[in-house]
Amino acid sequence: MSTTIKAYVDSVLEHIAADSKMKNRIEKDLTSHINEICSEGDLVEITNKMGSPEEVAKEFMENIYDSKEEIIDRLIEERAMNADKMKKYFEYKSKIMMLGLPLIHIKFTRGYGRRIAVAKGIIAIGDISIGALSIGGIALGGICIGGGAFGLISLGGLALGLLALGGVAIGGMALGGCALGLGAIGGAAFGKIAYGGFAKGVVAIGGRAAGNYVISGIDLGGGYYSLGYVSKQEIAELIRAAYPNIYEWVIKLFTAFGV
Amino acid sequence: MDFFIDRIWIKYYNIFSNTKYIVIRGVLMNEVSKQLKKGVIEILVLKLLSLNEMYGYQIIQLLDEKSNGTFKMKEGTLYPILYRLEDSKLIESYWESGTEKRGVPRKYYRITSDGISQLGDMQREWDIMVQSINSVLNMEG
Repeated sequence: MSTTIKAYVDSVLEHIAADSKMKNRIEKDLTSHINEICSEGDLVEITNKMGSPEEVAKEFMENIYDSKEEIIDRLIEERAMNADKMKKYFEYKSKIMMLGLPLIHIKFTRGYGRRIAVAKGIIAIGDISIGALSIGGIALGGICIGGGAFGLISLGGLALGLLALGGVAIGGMALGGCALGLGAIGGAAFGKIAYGGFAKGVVAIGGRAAGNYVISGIDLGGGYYSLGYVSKQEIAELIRAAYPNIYEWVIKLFTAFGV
Repeated sequence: MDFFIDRIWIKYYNIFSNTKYIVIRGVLMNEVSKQLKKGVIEILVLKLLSLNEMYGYQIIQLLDEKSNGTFKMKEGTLYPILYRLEDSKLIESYWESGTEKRGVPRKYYRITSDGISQLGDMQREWDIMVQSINSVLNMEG
């Protein structure tokens, strides 16, 4: 379809107050109609003859509706819809409450330069979200997912939590590009027990590892290191040597990376 | 059908889709004229489609030609009428894909059996209305 025809039809539709079904109908018919006439003449001449998009829209409006009252009703409806779009926030709050909080609260800022929206609920989703399950630009609470996630279990670009997973993960157990924690697994891992490309900790296992109990890789030259073959048993023994009373699940977590 | 022009009320049925009362007085005449036009065009469009399946532009051209230029319809007039007729199941439409010669798809409209029967009713009512109007207009004092 010619872009000029599309632009003309789009402009007509912009001036019509009607529901989307009707607009869709008009769009298809008007496009086909103009294409049909175009086989007989120049597009500019044709659209000039048809009239400006405003005039064509007016003609449609006069004939879509049976009376002025119907047109007014539709215009009022569109005005209300536009007013809704102009609202500063999109917000949904479920009617069900738990512990004085809505079960679900969703709140986002519309447009730029407005105050950040904060959603608070058992399940909270928003620019900033606070909740048992929290999803947002900044998420705070129990299970948190977000650009910045701060909670018991956190997933995010920057994740802080008892269990943290993210680009930068800081927590009791941290997994990420850069991981800092009691237990840390990542590209660069720092912790009591650290496992990673670069690992630094009391127990350190990595391509390059530094610590008191260490399994370090082989220098391949040119700044490259390889951890090479490390058995699960070796990792488990190393951790137990440093922390004899450590929980078995912690060992299982770290040995999952061994061969 | 009731048609009492001397009582300034007109009541008309199917020709104009819905039963309506319209006051024929100064400022409202324009509205009456529009409604009449809509109603008349509905009959004419149905009549054309009863002769053949047609696409929108074809209807506009044919109506212009056969009415000697009296009914020069704009797109914004024709399509809403086609939508009303289609929604009332008096006509139906289908798309025919573009051919090598004609690249763009074309939407054809055709009359349904309900449409044919409705057209018959409309034509009868139209005849009665025209006769009634003429009998009033031809009155001599």
